[in-house]
Amino acid sequence: MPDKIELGKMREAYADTVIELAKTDPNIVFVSVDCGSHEREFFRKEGKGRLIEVGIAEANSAVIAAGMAAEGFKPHVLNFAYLLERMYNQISQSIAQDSYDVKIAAYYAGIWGIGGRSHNCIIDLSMMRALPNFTIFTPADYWETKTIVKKANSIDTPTYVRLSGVPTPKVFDEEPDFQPVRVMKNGSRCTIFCHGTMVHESLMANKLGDLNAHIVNVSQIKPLPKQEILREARKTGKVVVVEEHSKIGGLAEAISTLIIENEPMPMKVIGVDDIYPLSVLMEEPDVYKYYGISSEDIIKTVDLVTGYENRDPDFFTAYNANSGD
Amino acid sequence: MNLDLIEKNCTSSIFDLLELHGIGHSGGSLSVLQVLISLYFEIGNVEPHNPKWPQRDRIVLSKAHATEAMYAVLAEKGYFEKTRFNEYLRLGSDIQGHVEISTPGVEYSGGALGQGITFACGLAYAAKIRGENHKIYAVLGDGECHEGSVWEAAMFASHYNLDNLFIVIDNNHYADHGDVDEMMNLQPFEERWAAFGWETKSVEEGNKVSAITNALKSFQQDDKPKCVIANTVKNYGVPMWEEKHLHQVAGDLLSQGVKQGRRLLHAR
Repeated sequence: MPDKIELGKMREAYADTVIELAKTDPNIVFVSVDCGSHEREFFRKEGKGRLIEVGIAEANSAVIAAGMAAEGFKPHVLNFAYLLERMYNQISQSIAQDSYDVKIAAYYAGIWGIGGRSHNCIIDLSMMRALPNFTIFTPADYWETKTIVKKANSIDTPTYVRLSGVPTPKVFDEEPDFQPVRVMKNGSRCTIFCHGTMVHESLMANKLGDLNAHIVNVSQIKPLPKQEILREARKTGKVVVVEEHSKIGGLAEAISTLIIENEPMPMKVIGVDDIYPLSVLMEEPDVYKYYGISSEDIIKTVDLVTGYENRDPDFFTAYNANSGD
Repeated sequence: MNLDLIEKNCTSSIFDLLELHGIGHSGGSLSVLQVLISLYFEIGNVEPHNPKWPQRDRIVLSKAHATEAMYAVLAEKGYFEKTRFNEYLRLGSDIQGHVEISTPGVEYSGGALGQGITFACGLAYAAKIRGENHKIYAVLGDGECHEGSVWEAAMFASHYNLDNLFIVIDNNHYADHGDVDEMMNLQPFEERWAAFGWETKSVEEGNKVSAITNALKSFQQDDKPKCVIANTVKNYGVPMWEEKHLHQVAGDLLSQGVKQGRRLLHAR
């Protein structure tokens, strides 16, 4: 983790990586729904029909991509996460059912965005996890997005990559190797499983709250790396799952089922309630706190799950003065 | 090739499938049969013993509930043995209740309507940019054209000049619960397709194989996708089902209708 908070756009890492991959693989085509400036520019210049603009017709983009994949192309489809809802039946029947090699990525997944309740999507994992044959990835930052777009591209079945829409803190200094489950920080009090933006938030909570937690970045949500997750949970015997996603249908529910069925142990979940997130500017402070998924919430939850009762009541006053969200 | 015999055999197979399983989509299967026979036996360049042959023409059945007609035609063409009709709807079978690519000769796994034409657009676009010469045929129902996605695909096909794409609409005028145009008016149907940039042909005798074949061979504009609107009769060949415009049949009505259909078939 870099010492100073540096921001990076997952969306930019996605564009650069898809373009880089497409330079050496003529079968990669880009299906655009009035979306993706850099990608559109690159694929248009490449010619040979590799930019497939379908217009503002999200549902159809999924099926055009399926038809292309049936002929051996590797279509990359980019859209806003909330539009997966618009595409859902098409993705299910035309892509997932016959396991066509379509690479879907979606941004503005999570609570951030000026678009408001229609546009800020916290149910993308709930939807996509429910579809058989999909592999689902959740990069933690700019650097890991590069790793994961390459990993997704290397698989010949459908994939979904979840991206944030706004610049997010970098947790890596360079492009890491691919690891579906990665220990970011060893600790002994409890295991924190997290993904996406919550990897940085958990690391920050760990540092500021002196948590000595075992912090694990889960970058592959489906198929769930069960043995690795159980192994890391077992190391501390207590689990907290943190995600910028609805509490319904995300990583927390996946890990809950795994833990309950295999090795029941104390567990708490930090996620967004069953609501539609509001419009919010990047500059707005305390957004994570508003939704109950801030580093402060993480510290309190770790204290709760580990039965720690000695934290100074003034801690959070001082913490808020220092953390700056 | 004796097309009359092929049609008789296929109609008989549809009755076999309906009887064997006691339920089925009689209406759409009996209306679309001649369209499928035209595509698989006269128009399409396909090889039943090598169903994935790369140069084959692609035939997409978007109205994937017309299983009885599709399985009858595929078996008659030689994609699989008619003895496999027994497997239809049985747990674990490749022969499903909506046609799927697990069955040899099927190009698209349908069910939810309005997607087969888009999938066919993807196939046609892929062939175009690779410079391949095979053709793509998609078979739609008229009721299916209520779906907005059909018109998204219609725009896509003409925008990209997909003149290798042919659709045939089984215009049998009835959906599950009544008259298609009474539910949601599609008229002026042919003009709408033309306005979306397609070359269109209307076929009055849509249950005549030669009429479908002639229409498919008569297109002339080489930069447009093509649309044949085949005016068909739902449950064609079984008057007692025809007059009720049935979508599905089961029970006594099934056995009585099959009896009537077989009698008329022998007299043909």
